[in-house]
Amino acid sequence: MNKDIEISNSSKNDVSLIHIKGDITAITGEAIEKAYQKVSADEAKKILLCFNAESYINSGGIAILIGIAAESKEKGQTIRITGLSGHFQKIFHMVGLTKYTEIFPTEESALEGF
Amino acid sequence: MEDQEAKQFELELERRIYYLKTLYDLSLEIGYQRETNEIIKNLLLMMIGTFGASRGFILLFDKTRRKIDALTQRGLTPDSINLLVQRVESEDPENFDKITGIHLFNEKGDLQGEGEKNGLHFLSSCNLRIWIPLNIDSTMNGGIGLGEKLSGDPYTSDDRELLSTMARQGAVAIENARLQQARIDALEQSKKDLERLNKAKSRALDHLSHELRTPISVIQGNIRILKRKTQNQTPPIMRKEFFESLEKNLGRLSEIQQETDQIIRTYQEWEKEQTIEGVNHTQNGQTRALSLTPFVEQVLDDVKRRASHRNIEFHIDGGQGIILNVIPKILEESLVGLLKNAIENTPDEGLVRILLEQKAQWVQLKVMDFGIGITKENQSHLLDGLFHTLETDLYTSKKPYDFGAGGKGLDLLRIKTYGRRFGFDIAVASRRCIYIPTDRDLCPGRISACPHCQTEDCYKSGGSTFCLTFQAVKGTF
Repeated sequence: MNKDIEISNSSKNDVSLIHIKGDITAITGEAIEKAYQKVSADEAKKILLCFNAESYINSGGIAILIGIAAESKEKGQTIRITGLSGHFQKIFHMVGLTKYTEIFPTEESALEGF
Repeated sequence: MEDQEAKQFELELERRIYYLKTLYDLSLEIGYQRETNEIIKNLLLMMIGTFGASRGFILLFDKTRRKIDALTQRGLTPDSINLLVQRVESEDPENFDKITGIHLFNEKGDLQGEGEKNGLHFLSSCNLRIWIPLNIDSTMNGGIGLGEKLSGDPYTSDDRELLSTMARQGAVAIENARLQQARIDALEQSKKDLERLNKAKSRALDHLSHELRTPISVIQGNIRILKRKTQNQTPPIMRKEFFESLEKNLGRLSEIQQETDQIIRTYQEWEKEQTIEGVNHTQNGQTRALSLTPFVEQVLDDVKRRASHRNIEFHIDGGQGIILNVIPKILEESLVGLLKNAIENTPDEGLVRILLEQKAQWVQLKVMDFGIGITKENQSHLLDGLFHTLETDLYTSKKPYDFGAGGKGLDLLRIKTYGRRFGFDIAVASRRCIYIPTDRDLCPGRISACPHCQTEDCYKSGGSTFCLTFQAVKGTF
């Protein structure tokens, strides 16, 4: 597993995009949490998490995303996810993350109608 | 239908792969972790992520102190955590021992089965679905509580098996971390004890040396007076022997006092140096570039003159073209100290060899003697000062460079101090002569007088090598 992660923020209309590149674990996940807190502080209501299809996400990383999803529900935010490989789309579904978030195949399709 | 089954099968396969990968990742994340809090934090996150649990916590309870030793949580409210802590700490520690096996809770948070009887009522504030015990050792246990799955599915027997395996992995990592910490604590305590004892030793010697000075001076004065007053009272021969013996022993006492004083001062200087961080070694004197071989030859010639009453052969090997940036006086004193030590430990007809070599960025100056060597137990204390490798009562000669005339390790301690201050290293390797394995076994001091060996055998039977390592001059490696 690679311990480095690259995170950048951007926005399109009223959607805050968080771009994530690298492996997502309990340790690197903290950087995603920070990025989420930052956009939340800016009162973002629509957030799109853009993963890299080559990224590996372990169960520690998924726990971090569950935490973000739970918090977004409390704050009345909507989170969409894109860029996941087929395997991780199934895992997200299996662990119930899709009850809090929606998964889209591309950034364009995720932004459509957001 | 077949298509449906195939999809189900594929999903189950993905799940199994994910579980296996989780076990592998968990061993990587916590296997080498040395902080208990980090271990339980990672363990909890991986359990939550594996099953998509809505919330969870791990607590470790110290049965001896009746306190929670570590607690990590995710998704619980502060109120429910506070209540949990209160309840756990008011619990009878023996109740924890009764909690065995995994327990399930229903949707209302009530225990299913016999959990109540097992003392799990303290968990009622946490809205859990499953409790997995975490048994570390006889003084510590605890457990892992997880909330409902986001998927709404119940925890299956497969889930319980995986959770149990993960908990066992966590327990092993925590136990290892605790053992490691206990070892580190014990080592640090020993180090502190040793430092305290060392300081006490220095203080005691300092005091002793100081206190001896006055009575020795008084006795010396009184002997002079007594000598004068008894000039005509006893037969001259008896009087002469009497006073000679008195003066010889008093002189020895006085020397011991002075040596002790010197050692204490050197120690204090060394301790002072140790507390100074980032010493710029090259600025502690007049460093200059010198050609090593001619310098060593010159020092050796001087030492040979001082040890001219000894029959010892000297060789210098290597060193051609090596340039060293040093303070000449420091290198000279260090080399003289090592040569003196080598000569005093080498019997007549023996050999002392100086080896000079450069290995990459390091220049080494080795003084090798083929003498009696040092016993293993003495080697570790050799550079401590106040140390003599010979038993005191076997120590007869006091003349420098005589065989067996070693001092109390003061020269070696001084070299170590110089090394610290001027940025070079001193190391020793030694093998005690196989024919005289203990400090009480005596070497006759001349190879031809040895009942065990002749010259070549003696060279192979034991000896010591002291090595000074310097940084080479830039551009020469």
